[in-house]
Amino acid sequence: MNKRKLVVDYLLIVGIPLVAFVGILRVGRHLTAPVALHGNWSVQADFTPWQGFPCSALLINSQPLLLKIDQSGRSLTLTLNNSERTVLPGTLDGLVLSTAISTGQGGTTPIPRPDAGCRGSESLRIQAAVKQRENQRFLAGTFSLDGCASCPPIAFSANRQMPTGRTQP
Amino acid sequence: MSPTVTLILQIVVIIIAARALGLLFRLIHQPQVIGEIVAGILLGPSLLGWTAPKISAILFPSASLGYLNTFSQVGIVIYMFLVGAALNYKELKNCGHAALLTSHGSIVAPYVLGALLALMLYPRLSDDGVSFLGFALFMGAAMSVTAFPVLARILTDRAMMGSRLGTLAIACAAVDDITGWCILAYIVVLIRTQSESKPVWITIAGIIIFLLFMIYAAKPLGQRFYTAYERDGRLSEYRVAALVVFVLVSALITDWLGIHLLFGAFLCGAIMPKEHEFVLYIFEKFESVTVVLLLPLFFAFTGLRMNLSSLKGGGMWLICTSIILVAIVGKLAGSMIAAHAAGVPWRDATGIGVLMNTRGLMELVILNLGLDIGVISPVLFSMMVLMALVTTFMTTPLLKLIYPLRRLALEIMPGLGTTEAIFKFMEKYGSAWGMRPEVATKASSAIDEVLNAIGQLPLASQTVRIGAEFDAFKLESEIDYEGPPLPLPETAPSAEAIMEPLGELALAGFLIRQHSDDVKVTHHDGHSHVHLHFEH
Repeated sequence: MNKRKLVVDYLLIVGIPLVAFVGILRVGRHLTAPVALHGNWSVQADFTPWQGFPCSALLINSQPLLLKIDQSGRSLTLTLNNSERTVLPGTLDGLVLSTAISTGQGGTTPIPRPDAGCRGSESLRIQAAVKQRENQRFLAGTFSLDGCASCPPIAFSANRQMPTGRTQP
Repeated sequence: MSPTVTLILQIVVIIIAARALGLLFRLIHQPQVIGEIVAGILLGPSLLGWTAPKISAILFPSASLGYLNTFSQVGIVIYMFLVGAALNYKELKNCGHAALLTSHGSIVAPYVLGALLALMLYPRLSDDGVSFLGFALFMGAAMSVTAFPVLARILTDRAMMGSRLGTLAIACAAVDDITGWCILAYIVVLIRTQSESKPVWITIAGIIIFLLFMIYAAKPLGQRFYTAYERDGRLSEYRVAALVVFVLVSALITDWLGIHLLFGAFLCGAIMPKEHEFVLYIFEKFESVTVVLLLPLFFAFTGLRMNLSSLKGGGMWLICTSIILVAIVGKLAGSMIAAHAAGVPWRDATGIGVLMNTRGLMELVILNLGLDIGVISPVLFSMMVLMALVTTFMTTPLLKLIYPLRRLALEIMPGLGTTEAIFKFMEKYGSAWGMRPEVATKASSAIDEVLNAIGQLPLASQTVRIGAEFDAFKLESEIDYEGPPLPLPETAPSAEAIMEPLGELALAGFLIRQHSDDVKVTHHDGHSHVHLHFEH
């Protein structure tokens, strides 16, 4: 192969795309991605106001409560460490996380067991804002039960345990 | 169930599923590894967890997956050592400028397209826990990888290993692998230094010192393994144990340095002596337990992490399709154009592109690494695994399309005029199929000798059926007749022996062996079959 042709071809096939690659990296620097929430979060909340209300066993019996968040961009999957292993699909809108799961037959699996005390018409809802304190992100929000007018929303805060990596399936 | 019972049950189910699917994929002429990967995916939430969640929860409870992960990681560490051991830098030198341009082109094109795709994916499927730089570099690396071991298996299956095309593809894949792993090491350092307290200079200085140690101190140690093998024809159990310790310690050091276990294992394999028989021996020692037991666990673990049901809505599937298309266009077209620019004819350049587009297991290793360090999200992981499957699956059918197998059959009566008929037959179809004239001549001579020999056999049939199959890399000819098998002596009969009864038959048998690259004769129930093989 002619050496001059090799150099010209190399510049065309390798050199120019590399320049384009540098350009892409420069453009990409200005892009913003959703805030990172994936990992395990330890939840601090007082669920005693829910004593005796429907679905109370969903959260009351799971102390300390852990929230595992799997994240793909704005799409979230939240898993509670309660006996039901409740899985809640959620979304992230800016700095606001919201998710809901119906406890009835039409809800997202898994449907809570009868001993959780649910009547089947409630929806467990989590809404939280992502906040920052000393370079540490935390969640501040509420657990609420839609369909249970007498159940007061429970305020919670959650701190992240594992900031990076997605080691567990 | 106790954790041990659960783990053993998991291993049993995974091995059965992997073997069954592997066999099924072999039947449709696909590499077995694709079947094993599919088996892993089917055992995960994409099928078993979706259709039979209770069985899935019993078989794969989330608390047990840590053990499965640990076993699969050990398997991948040993596998990466084998991948490193199979790399041969000498092949690069043999291919010269063509390999340089093709391999670099085959990396840069998918890399740039992967980074371009990252512009779209970063705001949608990533998060600010990873920088755009890390994300784009990872997407580029994941797009540009070539499955070196799967590629070698496909080339061997299609008898392309020794061909110019096969050698070039293997050399390019080796360059791609080395480059890809260097870039990945950089990405891991980049990501981990964001979260770890260890200063980056310690990591970089440690890697440089470790590399120098491996090249200048550990490489001679690897040579000592070879010396022992050359002397004894085998490695003693103590030496095999020492080799295992060598691999594992190397993996531990790179993990401690802040890159990953896999880099140490790969590097350990890369510095091993490259003598063909020694490499084969190493493979024999380690491959069975790795391929049969540990890799299927890795595929199953990958499958458990992949969830196709997470690709909800048309938008997600559109992104997934874009990823697959970008991967194919970048790697296949990039390699093809680069190979053609390097002087390879268009058809062979397309063949190179198709081969380089094989991602297979190496892609899964990289994707799991990306998910572990948090550079890609679970949904993107699922999409990329699907891309790895599609690009690997398409290799064999595309190769068949580019190099179609051509078949013809001819019935002939041994006797006067057959020589001319055979040569005309091979000349006509050989040139139409693109066969090299010297191969056509060799094949004609061998077939002519077979007919000549059959004519001298007692009780041989009057009609002989000749079949020919050609696919640009080999010519196979099958000759069937009724009668006793042909003798195929290894040495030429002496002048006196030729004058004896059946002496000419022995000479014809010897000439058949001389003209063909391989010949086999089988005989069953009065029917004889001659198989002639010619390299193209």
